[in-house]
Amino acid sequence: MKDDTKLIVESIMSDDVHTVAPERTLGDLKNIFEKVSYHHLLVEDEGKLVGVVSDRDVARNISPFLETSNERHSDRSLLNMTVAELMTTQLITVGRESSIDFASILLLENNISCLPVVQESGKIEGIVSWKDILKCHVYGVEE
Amino acid sequence: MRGSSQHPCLQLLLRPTTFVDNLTGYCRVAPPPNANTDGQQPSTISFHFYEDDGTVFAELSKSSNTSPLGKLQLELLLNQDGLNQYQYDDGVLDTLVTQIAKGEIGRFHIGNRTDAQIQLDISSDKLLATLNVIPAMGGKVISPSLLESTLSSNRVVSQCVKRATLTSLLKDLKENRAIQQLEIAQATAPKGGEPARFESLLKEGKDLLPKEDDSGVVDLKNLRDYITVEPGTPLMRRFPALEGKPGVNVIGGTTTLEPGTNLDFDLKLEGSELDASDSNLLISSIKGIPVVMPNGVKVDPVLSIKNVDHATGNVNFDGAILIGGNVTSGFSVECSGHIQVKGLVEHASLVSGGNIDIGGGVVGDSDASQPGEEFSASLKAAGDISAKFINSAYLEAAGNLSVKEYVLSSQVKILGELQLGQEGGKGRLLGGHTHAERGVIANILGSEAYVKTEITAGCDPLLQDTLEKLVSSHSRRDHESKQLKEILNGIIISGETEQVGKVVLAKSQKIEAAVSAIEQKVALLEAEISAIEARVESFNEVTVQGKKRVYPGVNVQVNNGLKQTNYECETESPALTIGNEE
Repeated sequence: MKDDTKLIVESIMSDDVHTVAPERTLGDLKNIFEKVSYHHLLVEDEGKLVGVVSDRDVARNISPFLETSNERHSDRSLLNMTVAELMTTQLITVGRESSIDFASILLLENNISCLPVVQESGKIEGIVSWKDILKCHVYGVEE
Repeated sequence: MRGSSQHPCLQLLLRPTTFVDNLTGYCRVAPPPNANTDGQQPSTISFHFYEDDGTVFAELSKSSNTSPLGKLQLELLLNQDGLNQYQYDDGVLDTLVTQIAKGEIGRFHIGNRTDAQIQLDISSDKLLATLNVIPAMGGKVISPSLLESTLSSNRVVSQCVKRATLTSLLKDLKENRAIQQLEIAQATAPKGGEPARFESLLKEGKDLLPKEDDSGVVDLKNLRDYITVEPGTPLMRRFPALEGKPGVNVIGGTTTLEPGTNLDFDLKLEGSELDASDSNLLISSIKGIPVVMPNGVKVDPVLSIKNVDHATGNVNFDGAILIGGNVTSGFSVECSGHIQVKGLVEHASLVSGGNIDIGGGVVGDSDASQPGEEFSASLKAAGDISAKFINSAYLEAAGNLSVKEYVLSSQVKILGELQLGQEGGKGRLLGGHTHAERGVIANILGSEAYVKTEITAGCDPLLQDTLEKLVSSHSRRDHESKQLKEILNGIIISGETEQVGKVVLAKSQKIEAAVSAIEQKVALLEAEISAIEARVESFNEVTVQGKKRVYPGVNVQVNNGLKQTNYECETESPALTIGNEE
């Protein structure tokens, strides 16, 4: 039987991480999320993780009248809101040597869907999502 | 009518009062309807002690010409009346002072006679019993029989009771002293068994230990006197493990017995076997050189060769090799045991699973134009290397390198110490690069020609990087463990079970398992950190010494673990020690 406790995040994380700067805008985020398949972006400032922003954060803050006949000036000006104003700063993270069990419990018990993988200094090393973990459990990790 | 005691002086000062029968418990008797509470005239006070239930009452009554009393005066009155020995509620005298000043009247329960109280606590592991005693306040002290019954009712066995403590305890109890956390009984420790041990029977083995001379130089020449054993020679005796003796905990149970670990001879070691009539005796099965191991002795067969040259070709042998003459140019010798060469090694390669001892010297040359600077002579040993001189060679050893005359233009990489100049030799290190983890002791470093001589010693900087990484990982895993424990506590406190369909999730079990796995990792990291810290610390004393002279061109770097010393010699210096500086 496979010993899950020995599996570590490094083996399943994605190290190709899409980051945004905190001074980017809601408009920028909208454009990015329209083009990509993932739902979270890590916010990086001076090489360190400072927040996480999701497509749901974008949807929550964008006006439903935008790009409709009822669009007002205020709807468009909302697009100038910065990432720093939208992002989550209560960060729940893991390290590349954290166990997959640990990461799984954090995801489940904090009701979140991805975890940034960072060094103790806050330097971003990757990201691991619930899908990565599910894939690992279903398909296994090549030893 | 209940009996009361009142000091005669008190009787004079205070107006006598009538006592109420059948007072029960701690109660305050309400003042009569005509109680004076307007504070116009202070009341008088009298104290009464009731022998039958051990209560103390204060009685306040009207007075026409009385001064108000303060707390100190009340204490004095209690003291004079012999009532100060009883237990009074906190602040009761302050309250009385206020009541007197207000002219209140009535009877008030203010104190009690209490007996001494004893409490015995037994630690959860039942290895220790501690005693607390609150002293009597006018009541009974703890009698020896009560102490005995307390111990026996808690099942404390007499053999664990500390006799010396008991004697002083009985005195303290008699004198009604407070006692806190007194260790009255302690488990008798189990006597752990002794593990099996092995003792070498090779008398010469003791002489194999390195000896230090007055100047701190270790002469490894003695190590080169190889012993040869004949078949049937006793090599090692095994002393079997000894059983331990169980201990007794404070309630008479037995404490864990740790039997001694039994160890057997390693019979896979070649050249030795068990004696047919004594299973604890190991004897030699062949003629050869004995190599003492932790739990056995390997006897390397000895291959004796006059010279290694065209007549022998390259030599590869499973055992020890004794070469009576030289190893000539272009040949190689490789063996699993020791190599002893009585003559010279010229432009040849030697690889040994033990020590290499060269009676003469090593002569080679190097091609500096080649990457990594190839040497025509190289020596690699899993143990020590010793020679009279080394010239332009590559040397690698897990142990020490001992050279009498000089090491010239060579590349040395050893985990032990480089010792130069034994037995009155010149002891010069000149040119090349030397890395000796445990330091260098030489007479002369460098030369009058200011030849560049690179020396490094001490802790590998990579070791400290590794240590930092381990400490960081430990801190992180420890934090993760705490995170999971917080989550686990939340689940336990909520008491809710979670279901997925019909399946009840064993969340807490899974989290506990994850915590346990992380804690195991933390423990492993702690062990690794301790081991590396000890290793780093072991480099604190490492130095590079030129006992007679150090010349310009000599560059030394000594890493003492926490401190690194870099030295570049610019002017000729007499004796010098680099490293281990305050």
